Amino acid sequence: MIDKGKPRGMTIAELQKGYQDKCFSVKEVIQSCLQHINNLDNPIGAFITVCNETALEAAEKLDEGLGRGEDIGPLGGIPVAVKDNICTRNIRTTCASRMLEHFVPPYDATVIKLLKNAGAIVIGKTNMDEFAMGAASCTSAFKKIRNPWDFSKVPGGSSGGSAAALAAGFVPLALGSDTGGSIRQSASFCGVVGLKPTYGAVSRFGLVAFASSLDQIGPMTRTVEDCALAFSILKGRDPLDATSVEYDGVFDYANALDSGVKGLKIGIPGQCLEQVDEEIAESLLKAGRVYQESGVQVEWFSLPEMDLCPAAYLVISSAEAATGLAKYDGIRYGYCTEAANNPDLDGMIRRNRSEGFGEEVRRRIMLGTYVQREECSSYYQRAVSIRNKIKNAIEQAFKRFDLILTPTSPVLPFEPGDNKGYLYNEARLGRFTVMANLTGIPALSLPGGFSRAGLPIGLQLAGDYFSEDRLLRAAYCLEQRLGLFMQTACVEGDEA
Amino acid sequence: MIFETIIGLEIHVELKTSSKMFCACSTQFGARPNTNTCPVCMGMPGGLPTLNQEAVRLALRAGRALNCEINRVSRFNRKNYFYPDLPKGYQITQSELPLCENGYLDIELDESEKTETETTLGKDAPSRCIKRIRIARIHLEEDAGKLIHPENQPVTLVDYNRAGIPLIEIVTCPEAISPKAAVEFLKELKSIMEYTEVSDCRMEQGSLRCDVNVSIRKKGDEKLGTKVEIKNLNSFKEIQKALEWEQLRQQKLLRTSLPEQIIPETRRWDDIRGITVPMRAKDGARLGCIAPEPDLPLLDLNDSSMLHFLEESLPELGAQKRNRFVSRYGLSRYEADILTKSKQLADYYEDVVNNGAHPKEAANWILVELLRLWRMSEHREIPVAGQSLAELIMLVDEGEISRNAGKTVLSEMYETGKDPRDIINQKGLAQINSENEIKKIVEAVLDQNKNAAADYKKGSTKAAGYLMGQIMKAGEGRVNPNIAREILEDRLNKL
Amino acid sequence: MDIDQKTMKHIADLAKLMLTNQEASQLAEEFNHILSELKGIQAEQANQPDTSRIQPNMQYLRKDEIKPFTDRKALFQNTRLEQDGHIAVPRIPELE
Repeated sequence: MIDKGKPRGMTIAELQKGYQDKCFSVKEVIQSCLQHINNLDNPIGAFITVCNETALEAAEKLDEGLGRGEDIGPLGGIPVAVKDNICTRNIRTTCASRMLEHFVPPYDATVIKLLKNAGAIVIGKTNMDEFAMGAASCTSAFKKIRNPWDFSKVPGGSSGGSAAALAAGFVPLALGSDTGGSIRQSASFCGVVGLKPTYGAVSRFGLVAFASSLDQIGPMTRTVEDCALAFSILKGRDPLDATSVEYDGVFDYANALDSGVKGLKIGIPGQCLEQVDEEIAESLLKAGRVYQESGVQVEWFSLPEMDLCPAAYLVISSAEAATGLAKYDGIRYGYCTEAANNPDLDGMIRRNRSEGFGEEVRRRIMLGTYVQREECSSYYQRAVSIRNKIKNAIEQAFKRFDLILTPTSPVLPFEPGDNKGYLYNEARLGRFTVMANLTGIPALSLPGGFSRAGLPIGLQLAGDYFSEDRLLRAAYCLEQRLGLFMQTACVEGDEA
Repeated sequence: MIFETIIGLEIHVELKTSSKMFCACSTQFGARPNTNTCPVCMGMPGGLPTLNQEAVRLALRAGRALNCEINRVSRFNRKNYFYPDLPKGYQITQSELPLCENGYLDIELDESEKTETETTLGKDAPSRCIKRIRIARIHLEEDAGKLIHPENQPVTLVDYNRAGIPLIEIVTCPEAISPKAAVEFLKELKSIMEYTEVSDCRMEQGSLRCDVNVSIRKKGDEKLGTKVEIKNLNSFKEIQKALEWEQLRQQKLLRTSLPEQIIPETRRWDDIRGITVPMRAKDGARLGCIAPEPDLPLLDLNDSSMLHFLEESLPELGAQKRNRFVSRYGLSRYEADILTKSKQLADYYEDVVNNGAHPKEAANWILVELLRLWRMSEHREIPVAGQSLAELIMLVDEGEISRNAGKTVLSEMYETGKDPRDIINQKGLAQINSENEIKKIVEAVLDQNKNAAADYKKGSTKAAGYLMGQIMKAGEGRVNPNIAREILEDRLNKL
Repeated sequence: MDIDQKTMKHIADLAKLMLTNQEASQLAEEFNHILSELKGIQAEQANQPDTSRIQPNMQYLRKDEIKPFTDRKALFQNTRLEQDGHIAVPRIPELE
């Protein structure tokens, strides 16, 4: 039998070593992983679907391969939790929405194929904000998610289930999706690492769209090293996604992490200290000092365009969502109203959409529909204008700096009732993260400290297009120097 | 009051690709329902469009053949409406930045259609004139699925085989033309789409569809009248009838001073009653299409992999071919016109000529005999090989068989696909050219028709004709008439 | 332009959503707030550059080759109602 808590809480690297040294079989790992989820996830709510049978079957196959001395792949035997807006063949994919509660995709998303080819095992589908719309994981149609660090707090959103599954030590790897900061903000609230790659670096084929020009799938892990390894598997051009691109960065991230940060230039926007929780500001300043001590040149600069981003983000993402979600009419598949003998097709579609979508989703569709009206098109044009402004500002910034350092969120993990209700207030929570989506640059959140109350604080590093290698290297340096990853592996309260 | 009819056309042309516009499903017509489908064209969650390169190539060909300016950078948009034939809830189309703009097509019209703007063709074809129809834009878009409404059932059936088939929409500028001229334009357009191999243009399969806009204004007015759109037009004939009917309807309303009864609306052509009727809007409620399609990058022809699409040479088009047929083969304009109406026929004609038939004779045979047979049959392709028809024409020219026998042989060839020589041998249709044999027939006929011979002697030319007829009859039509005539005259003069 | 309850009801109509009066006025207020943030910004002219594009001059077009989706059964496993290979939906009034 495996030690208590082991392999729970292990990283990818540790599991790999364990397989190498024959400490445990894949089946044992997967069994233990499933057991933990089934026993402990109830109060947390990280999972919508747990793949008990298929995961064990896959594990047995890999064990047979191992027995024959075969290479089981770079992620061989690694359990992975997948956000429930990424299509998995014959595994229900709900987007945490009534609309897709019983939807079973006929195909695997490209990232799922890549993970499976690398030997990873899909352990379950994680809870999230409905259709990824939200910043606190409070809009799931099925259940709330609790932050494993403090059950009274939200895990961030919209990839809250993936982040919580990592923080609870259920899995070493999870997939999230990031439209305005979903990966990074929930990583930050749960004290884990989350990467939103360069737009186009990872295929979106099979990701249920929220806003196609902003969406990006990315890895979430407990260490930067794991994140680098996972990203190296996920990235690459996909002929099924016309917006995906040939990645011309360094391939072997995990091995490149050690090459150091000396000589790098990091910029911190002055705006990061305005309207930011004091403890978060302290962490930011501390990180700046750590970098300086490591031979990085740290400078403050001004990035006023950042404050325009939330409004532009809301308009653009909602406009794309309004058309992107038009396919859900509930008459061919998906949620269908109980009042089904309503003979009027139009009325039925209206009912299906009003009952099948939650309040948050309906609200965004409304906004997106409104700004696309011809007489209101200037709002959309203005949002595009802001998008171009921030893009230019970022390009200028990267002429001076290699990386930009900010907090991930201006606030600490809050209680479910807080910050709720007003779209704009929620969008303001993403004011450090959305710029990466609007411009397409890569950005990563990593643990930067803890509040006095013991809540995780996340810091964000953003880099120029296709500079994930540099981003990961700088993150690795900070992680090692802060030594925080040692604390993130496990949560208490699981003795029962 | 003199009225002027303004007509605008919106033509949807299915592009001749193997796979769909945005996914790799087959475009084959007539497949079992929903068999040419996948998560992308069914609008499943997570599906993404990928643009078919061949669709772009064909759209560019169409644009160049219609003298358009090509936009080096164009963009796709989402046109949103809720209707079950649209699996994604929106159609991917090009609304703000189409691939092609500002083109035109010159058509030939009868002089009677001439207004101020046309150019007379002059002495080349004095009764014809040229009218330029301007083309506003050509853009790429995807087709919708097909809906069936079975009788007495509470359901509508959806077939997504057609969903995602690549289309171009060709939009003309509103022009002051007659319904007949509009149809002339469509015929010419169809011919060009076929010549460039952009489309099959099979109207009965819906691969060429046309909606029309009609408005009427007082001649001399600057402002356009209220525009009415007509849909459900399934053939050129119906289009002309619908335009004529709608023109009359609007004129009547204007004459009776009820112009306010002309409202901007969509009407449907009822081909059984022969009238247009108001149509319920499909769904007026559209979200609009301001936002670009974020799943597709800009279509940028400056990319090295695209530039060659612009340089690719275009095939000879109908009008060019017609002129060449006149100058090279010595055909009349009328003959050349008919032969070049479809690329298929024009290619066939040239095949026959290239196989040795005299160009003028080949035209005659095709236009008179072959087209008659073709129109009566169900064949889509001409079932007689060009080489075989050339052989037949040469056999007639060389006097191997008579012209009449030739017609019989052609019918047989059409039915069976057999070689002309085989048919001639089998049916014993070879012409009798031997003087001895013919003499025998002539003698026999004269023996049996002594009275007629006597009449001839008395100076009746009619009698000679009668005797020739009898000779041909006796020879079962195979006797070489020239030789027979010589022998007959010789014999009669010697009487 | 200030958004009112009536506008919201109309938008809901377009988006095929049902909306109570109260929801409508609440959304109107909220949207006014969001969009007021954008009032000061100069609108971008049409034909703006494509901001979603990172690598310029890269066209990924698909070759015109047929690749059928083979798992036919899975493709229709979510379909509510099938009839003779068709997807059946509540009867649509024909367009007349």
